[in-house]
Amino acid sequence: MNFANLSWPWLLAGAAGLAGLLYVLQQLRIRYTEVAVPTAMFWREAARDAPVRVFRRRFRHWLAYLLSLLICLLLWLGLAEPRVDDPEGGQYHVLFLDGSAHMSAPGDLERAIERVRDDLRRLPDDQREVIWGGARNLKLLNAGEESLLFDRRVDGLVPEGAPSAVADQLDLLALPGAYPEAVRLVIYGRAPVSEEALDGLPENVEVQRAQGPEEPVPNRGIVAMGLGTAASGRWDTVDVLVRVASAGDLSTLPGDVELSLDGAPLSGAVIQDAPPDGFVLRDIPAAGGLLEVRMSEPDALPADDMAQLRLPERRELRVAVSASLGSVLADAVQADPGLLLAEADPEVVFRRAGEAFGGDLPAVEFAPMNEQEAAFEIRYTGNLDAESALRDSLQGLGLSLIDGAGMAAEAGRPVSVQTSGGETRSISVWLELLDERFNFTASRAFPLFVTRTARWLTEEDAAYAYLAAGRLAPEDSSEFALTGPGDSATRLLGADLPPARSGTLEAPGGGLSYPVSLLSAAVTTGQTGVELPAFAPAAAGLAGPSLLALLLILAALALLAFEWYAYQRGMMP
Amino acid sequence: MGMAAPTVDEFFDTEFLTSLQGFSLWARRIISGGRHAEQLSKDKGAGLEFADYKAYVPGDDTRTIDWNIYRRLGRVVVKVFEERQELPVYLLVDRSSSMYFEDAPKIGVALKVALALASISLSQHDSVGLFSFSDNLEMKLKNGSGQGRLMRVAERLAELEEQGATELVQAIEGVERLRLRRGLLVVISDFYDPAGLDAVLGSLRQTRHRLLLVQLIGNHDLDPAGRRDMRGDVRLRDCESGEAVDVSLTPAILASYRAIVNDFNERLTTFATGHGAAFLRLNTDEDVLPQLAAAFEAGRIEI
Repeated sequence: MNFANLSWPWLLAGAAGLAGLLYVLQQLRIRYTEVAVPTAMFWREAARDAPVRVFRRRFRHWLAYLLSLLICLLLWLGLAEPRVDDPEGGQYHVLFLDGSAHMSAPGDLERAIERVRDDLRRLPDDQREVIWGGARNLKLLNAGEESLLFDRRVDGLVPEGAPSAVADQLDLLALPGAYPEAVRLVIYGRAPVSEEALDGLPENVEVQRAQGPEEPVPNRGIVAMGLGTAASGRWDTVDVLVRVASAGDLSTLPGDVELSLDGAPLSGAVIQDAPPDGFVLRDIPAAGGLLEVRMSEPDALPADDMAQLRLPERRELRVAVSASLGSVLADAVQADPGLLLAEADPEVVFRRAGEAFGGDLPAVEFAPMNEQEAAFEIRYTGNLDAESALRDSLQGLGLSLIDGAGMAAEAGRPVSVQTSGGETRSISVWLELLDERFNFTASRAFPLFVTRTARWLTEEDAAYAYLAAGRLAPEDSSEFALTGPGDSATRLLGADLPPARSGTLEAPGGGLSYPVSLLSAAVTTGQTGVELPAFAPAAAGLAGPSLLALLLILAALALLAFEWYAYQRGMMP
Repeated sequence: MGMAAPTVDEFFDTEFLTSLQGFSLWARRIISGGRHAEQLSKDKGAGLEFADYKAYVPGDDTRTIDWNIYRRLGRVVVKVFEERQELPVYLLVDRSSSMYFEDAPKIGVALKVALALASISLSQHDSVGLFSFSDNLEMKLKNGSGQGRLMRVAERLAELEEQGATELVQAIEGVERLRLRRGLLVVISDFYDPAGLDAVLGSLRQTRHRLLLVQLIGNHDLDPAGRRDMRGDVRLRDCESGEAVDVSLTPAILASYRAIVNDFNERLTTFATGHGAAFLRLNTDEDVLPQLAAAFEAGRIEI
């Protein structure tokens, strides 16, 4: 036996409280009703054999007390709404209320909440919990908590601009010992479940969906947005890729979107198709602006109708090269349109180690091989671990392109990259690498190394592709190699986790804000994954609780009527 | 609580009085000394119904000598006739507070019964006197006869007002002290004298009069469970003395009460039977006339 509205301890405590209260009331019922009679002489004689009750000795109406107690207990039981024990055979239920962008169509979430509410009445309190599946999974109702709390906690919740995190819940279910022996995950909503996720579950875990298969909502939205180096070769512009997907009968056309840069319509942009469902905006100025792409026609799912991208800021960098290094570096700087060889007011300098040239300015220093163990010594700032810093250095500074083996052979010792943390960024390189015999200055990696080290030292990071809710991976394709540092970008922003939901991510300590867009093909196209069995609580559980509670209350009312009858007839005091 | 007595118009119901015409009150033998009427007296003398012969003695009415016997036997005898006289009826009506209690007070029935008995008595040429009592005895109307007297009886009855406690013992003793001519004393009361029934019966035993006891009792007197306010723990206050009794109304105490009331009634009945008194128990919550009709079996009560 379980109760829909009360747990056993509360029920027993309430029953004991009622019994005590009624006892005290019976004890304290000492107010006499004054009645005038002509036959007091008879009453006096009758009372001689049955003295009046006095406090603590007058509790003589046990039957009346028991009748009152029975009525109160029946009402209390009825209000607790008892249920026939466990129609679900002892299975633990995790009710997963989908609060992701999948549920942002009007009415979807309300229907799911109503269904959860219905099912909570049918499930034992101690064998169920409710999870809010928004950007992150949160427990709305613990096992054993009163079902009434659900209404309070779900109040005000709205679908979040994030893909479903049901996969995280499935991962948790797969952990041994995380849940009881037999557990059933019931999904209330459209959150898709992949075949792989189901295959990874142990046998004691079932996954069902509360509603039957639902048709995807006719919808159209932006599912990817990223940027890359301008194909035109211009250093101060980027190309932007936008992909649009649709579900239902809606088609996608480039003309279906509106473009704006820093709030103003973006006119004159060259747009090229990028089949199957995308297009590329060519030569968008890389001046740190906010590029917004918005669907012209709103539809059922507003969450994916708009995406934003913070464009990188590419500016000409003033660089000075020490004369002691020869002309090879100065030539490389002059060849880069983004760099300006300037004697006056440089921002970055290239110099020999120990030179005073450039003072405290960020510098790339060249030291003799016999004074420096590693070919490249890189000092980075921030909280990166050494491994991540090394990976970023190899890719971000173009070091992955150098002919390390050749240089090592020439040097007669290993060519390595050493990273360490510090308060300012700095790079120290073997001086000998500037010799022609190392073939470094003639390699394709050299100009990339020069330009990227200069920009890295001024802490001008590479552009990132986009920030999408719930994931880190940059968009990548064979056709458009979008530069996306991914986790580097989130580290830059000081976040340890991927941005949970669409919106704006503020950089720590102020500064730029970074837009986070939904960009989820699963949400936009209404993917439901594999078809799941429908969840249907046992029929006995469906009819049992309310009927039993009704019967109890009716029985209490019948006893109440009997008590009134008995009182009227003088059968009880 | 207390209710006013009905007015003359309210209880002087001619239809009610007419329906009493077939009823009569008969004493078996009354004491001589009254005027000629219809009650059979112990005296033999001037009457209409022959009773016996007796030897003539000087002074006898010579008109009663039976000359046929004288011719046949040579003895002078005179005829003796039954002498019928009036019966003095003394109505003693209780006007204590208990008679004025509840919505349908007993006094209403008491007045009706008193008027009915007065009407019956006067119709058979008896004399009727009226007394009221509570904690003192008052003579409201001296004995007199004649149909015209009925209205005066009604007027005096209507003048009765609630007063004090029931002291029936003193009232009976007071009547006794008046040395009235022996007759019929009609006591109309609930008999709830705080002195107790034993004292009441003791005083009734001492009276020289024949007795007609009319006990008035209500349904709630018999079974108080019928009252809506008699529930749970109650403080019962006597409507006359004001004394209180705290009672927890359990089925047991209700049963005990009913037994006490039944015993009270039984003792009253037994007394009446044992002392040749007539006894009427009238339920004041029911119509009076059918109860009277049942009491006047064959149209008469013989005392």
